Amino acid sequence: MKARLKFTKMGPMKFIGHLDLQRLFQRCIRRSHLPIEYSKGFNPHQYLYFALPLPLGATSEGEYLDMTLTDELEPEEIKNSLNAYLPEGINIQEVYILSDEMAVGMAAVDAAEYKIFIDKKTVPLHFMDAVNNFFNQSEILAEKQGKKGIKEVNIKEMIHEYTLDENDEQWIITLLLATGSKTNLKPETVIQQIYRDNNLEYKDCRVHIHRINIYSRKNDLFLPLSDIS
Amino acid sequence: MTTLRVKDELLLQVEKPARYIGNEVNSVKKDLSKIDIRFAFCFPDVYEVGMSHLGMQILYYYLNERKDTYCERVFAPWLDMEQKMREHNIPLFALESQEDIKNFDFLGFTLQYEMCYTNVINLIDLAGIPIWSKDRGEEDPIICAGGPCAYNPEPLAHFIDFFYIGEGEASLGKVLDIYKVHKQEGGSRRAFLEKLLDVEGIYVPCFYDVYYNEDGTINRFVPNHPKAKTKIKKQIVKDLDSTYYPTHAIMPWIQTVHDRVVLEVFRGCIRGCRFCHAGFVYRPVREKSKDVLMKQASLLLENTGYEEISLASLSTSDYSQLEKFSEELLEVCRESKVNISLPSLRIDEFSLDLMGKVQEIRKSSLTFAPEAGTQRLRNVINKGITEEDIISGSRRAFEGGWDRVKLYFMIGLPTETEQDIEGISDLANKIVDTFYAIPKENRAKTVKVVVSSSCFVPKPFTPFQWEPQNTYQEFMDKQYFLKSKIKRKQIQYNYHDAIVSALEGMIARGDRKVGDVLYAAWKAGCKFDGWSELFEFSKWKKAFKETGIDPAFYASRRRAYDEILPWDHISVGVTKDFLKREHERAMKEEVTPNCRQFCENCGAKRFRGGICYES
Repeated sequence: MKARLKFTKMGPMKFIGHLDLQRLFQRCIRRSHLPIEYSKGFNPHQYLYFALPLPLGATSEGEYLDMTLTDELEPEEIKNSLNAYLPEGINIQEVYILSDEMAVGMAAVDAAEYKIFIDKKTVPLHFMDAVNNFFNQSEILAEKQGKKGIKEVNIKEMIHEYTLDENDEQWIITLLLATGSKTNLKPETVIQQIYRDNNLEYKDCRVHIHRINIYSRKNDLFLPLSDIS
Repeated sequence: MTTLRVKDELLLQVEKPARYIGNEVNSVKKDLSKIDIRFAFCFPDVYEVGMSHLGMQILYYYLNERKDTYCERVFAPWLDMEQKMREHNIPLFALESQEDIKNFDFLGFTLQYEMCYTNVINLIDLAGIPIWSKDRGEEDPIICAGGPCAYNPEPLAHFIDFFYIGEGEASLGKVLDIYKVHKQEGGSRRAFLEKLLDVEGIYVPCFYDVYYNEDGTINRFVPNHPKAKTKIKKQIVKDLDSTYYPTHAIMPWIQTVHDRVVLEVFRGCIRGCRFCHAGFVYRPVREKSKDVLMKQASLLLENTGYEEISLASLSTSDYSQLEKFSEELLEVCRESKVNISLPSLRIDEFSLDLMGKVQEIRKSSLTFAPEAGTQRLRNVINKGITEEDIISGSRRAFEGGWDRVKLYFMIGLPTETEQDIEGISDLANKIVDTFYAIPKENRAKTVKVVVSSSCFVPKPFTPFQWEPQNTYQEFMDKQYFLKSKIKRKQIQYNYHDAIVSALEGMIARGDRKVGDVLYAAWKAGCKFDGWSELFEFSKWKKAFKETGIDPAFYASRRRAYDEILPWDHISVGVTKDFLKREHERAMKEEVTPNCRQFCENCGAKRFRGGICYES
């Protein structure tokens, strides 16, 4: 059977990179004795697919992982047995059973939602206007790292939604960005361009990125990966 | 969730921040209110290196078995992190609690390699503790050190409060018992160090004075305290089956040098290669039984989830139950999809067969360590391996599908001549010829022979402890000469940094005065000297100039048998008489049989355990 796991990556776990996270999961799965399916051949590996790598330094409450199991298990059983072995900060929130035809991992991903936290003390007072002006342009040009170096592209179509909120200390920009194997816009690219357009010095260590959820597009609707099973 | 000692913003500006966050799966968390002794286990290299070290994993769990003690880990921060810590006044902290180690009871350093000594000094400084032990006050932690390099403690004698000589599990516990009572009753740090004079295996340098002759050699080494022992005896565990061995391993956050279960099969070595420090200081051989190994293997795999297990020992082929054990282990590993890694096998029929079974896909690389290019020199160093062994081993390997052979050599061995160096390229050529002599259909298409040469460093407690080391100029000339002899495209030649080996040679046989050079080098900015990209010889040169110490005196001078050596007050079991005998035999190119064939009375019998008593 195929299962989709929604998990968090919080606190100091943001310092663990994607490859290290994969290794961590592989070993926790072995410890938990989940009946995971292995590839055949001399060098067997687990059937494990992560939806979308999270950048180092970002936290998330909406990560996804698909796996193939050799036995039928209740979602609750999968969740509990893994949580018993995962470190603090990484927690399986929910497990969904996928139909056998379902595409796994990256294939289903079309968009991701982020909250960007910016310390008010690090940006000028007119930051709110700057952000609004940036998103209200008819064409949004940004420097994007392509395969052949940096090029300027119009990212307007790749930003599905944006909102700007604030609390006493922070500006909070919420973004719904196109992502996946076809088109992919990183939140850093958007934020860096806002800074660049306003002649502000961008330091990624001062801007906190938090992923809310990952979505799949169905009939012009963005559905969380958890709803697609 | 533990609060991190270093703010997120700073951690995000350094390479591999996961090195500094702790909280790994299987790391130990304790309630600090129930702890009497706080111990910082310090590994003077980066996280990835330290986390791969078996000794640290053993002692970490061994110390944490005690309810009264909390042992935490400390590694050397990488340069970027150290810079941030110094800029923001963050003293060195322990990974588990993220608390500053200057408030701990003990700092314990493990000394694996001479070129990390400047890191030892740097870590003490980074912790905010006075570097010289004489400057430390009642509030400062007690700083101790152990590990293989501690068998010559003298270069670090001024910085370390006490050395532990031998295997930690044997009696480090006694030290903590004494400390606990001492702490409850109250008393000075000097009083505590005096109490340690009753404990076997503990060397407290401040209770000894060294007097020198005019030529710089040692005149007298004398205790200045009535209770200080004249000989410090190495402590070992006699029965490995009943000795503490962890059933867990801390799962590193990032890829480490050895990211797998390490199962120690036995300690010591029966072989007696005359250059090998470990072969003499870890005597006698003590084996674990097959059943204990199988039990430890399953528990470790169960508790870690690792997909690979490595068998550790100085020479795994010499394990007396290897055949039966490997059969059982293969069975278990096949079932649970675990790879077996087999370093340090001798290349014979059985080993090749076993290697074939454990890595059925990629038969890439096979490793031999002939160490010397000619049979004459291999006899000098007592490397019990013949050219026939190497050639026939290679032939069988090539026929079995391997297409790469790695060969390890040393240059600068005692009595070495030009012929011996040429012998290295001759041997490599013969292996290539062996490959092409096999019919095409029975072998791979092409072959690669990788020749690596390291520079010989004479070490204390080996038969070569009296021998001069080549100067780095001599090493470089020899490397260049060998390079000019290697012409075939199938042979690749790699060699080591000769300057680092020369410095290693100076420190390895150094006395207390070498400590001044270490300090001056550290002052000049030396750290991570084992990392070739960071090593700066000019800084060391400056340190020699400042201290007036001549490295050649320590590295490239022949010592007389009757000279007092800086490590003569340490006893590793093996006697000086035996080492002399072995040295004389080496000069006569005579081979000594291994411990299982014949007992040469090396002195290790005094421990009353292991192979000395089996035969």
